[in-house]
Amino acid sequence: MHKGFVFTMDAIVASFIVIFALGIIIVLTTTTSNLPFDKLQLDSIGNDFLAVLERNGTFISYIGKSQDFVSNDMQSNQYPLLPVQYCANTTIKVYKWQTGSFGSGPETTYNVVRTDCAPTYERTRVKRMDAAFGSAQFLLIEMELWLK
Amino acid sequence: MRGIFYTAITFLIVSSLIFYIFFISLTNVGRSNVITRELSAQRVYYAWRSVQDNFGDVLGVKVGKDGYIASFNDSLPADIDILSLFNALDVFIQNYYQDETLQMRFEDPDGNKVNLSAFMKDKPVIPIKPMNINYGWGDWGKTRLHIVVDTSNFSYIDKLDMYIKLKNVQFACNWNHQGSPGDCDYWTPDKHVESCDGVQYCLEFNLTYEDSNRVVVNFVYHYFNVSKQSVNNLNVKHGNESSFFIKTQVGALPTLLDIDLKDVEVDTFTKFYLTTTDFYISYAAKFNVTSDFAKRIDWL
Repeated sequence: MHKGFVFTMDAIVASFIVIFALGIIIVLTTTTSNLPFDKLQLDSIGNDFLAVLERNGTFISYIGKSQDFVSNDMQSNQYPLLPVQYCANTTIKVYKWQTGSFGSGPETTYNVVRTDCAPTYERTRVKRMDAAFGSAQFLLIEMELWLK
Repeated sequence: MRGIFYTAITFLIVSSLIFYIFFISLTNVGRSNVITRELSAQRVYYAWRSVQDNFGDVLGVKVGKDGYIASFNDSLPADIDILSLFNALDVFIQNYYQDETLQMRFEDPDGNKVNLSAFMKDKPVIPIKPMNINYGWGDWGKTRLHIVVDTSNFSYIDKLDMYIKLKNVQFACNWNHQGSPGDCDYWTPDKHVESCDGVQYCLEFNLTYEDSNRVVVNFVYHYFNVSKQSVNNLNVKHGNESSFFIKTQVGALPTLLDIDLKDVEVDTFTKFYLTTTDFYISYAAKFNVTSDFAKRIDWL
């Protein structure tokens, strides 16, 4: 009776150890090994995306526009440039240079999350600056990217 | 005996698993380090380029290099306070663009941190290096176009093309190329030559003006002895107002070209045809972007 109980307990503990070890192996070999490459790819595409929109004047064209206008344009014309499985959350802050300072902070902030995208923990962040020197306005564009 | 056998087998299995997990962990850590460095280098590069792109926009000039050709597409005079915006750019980068992962600063040629506005104040030029052909404006108001090159480096210039688009004035002179004082392309003093044969400092110069009525005229003389000065006063007017002139001076070295625009709004397209492809165009300041794993310091 006592011997059987000890063997059973021994088998249970051994099973737990094996299952635990296998679990760690599966997690390490599948999930985590792909994450850094995903992040690099996200970062790369995010930076290219911002660079294109800066050079073609998209961000500058948003100055003075409403949040609705910026949201519609980003959803309809800009976000489709990203691969469909890419989620993005873009924040554009507009700072005005006047009398030798930028005041207390941005004069306008726009924020647009790509539709059908729920935030996740695994995100990468990229950013870029732009400026409309004629009106002395500077833009800080920050974007979070993650996979659906 | 059976207990020892089971214990040994268990020990082997468990230790194999531990080694395997350890190996996988090491591989992943190594891979993560590589990726982190890649990410870092990538972010440094994009941050540097972003500032460089905007730096050119402050000046209202686009520079380019294509083989032997250095080109400058410019707008004059400046319609913004360039020095104030240099200061704004510096403050914006320090306060908002840089963060705990990316440190950024403007530097002088020796690598010292500088205040961009103060550093650039006396340097309204874009040098073509290493021959130091200085494309500039005299001051940051950009009311004149001033190209300077030392006699020792003049031989690097094979030819100069300039197209000047006058945006708010019309020609008020004759384009019959008779060499008379009332002609648009009349030079006095006039040191043009028929060819460069035997002339030590001879510039092949192709100058074209276009006025606001879209009349396009190419100056008739194309070779100048730039060891001496040639001057053209191009009469222009704005609507029915009385005429005034744009002064174009070719030579004497080290002044290669000096155009006093008298507040006329122009777009200029300048091409230097050089005798070498080994040159680069840069502004006077350097920009430094540094992260934990990567760094880029280069001329803007």
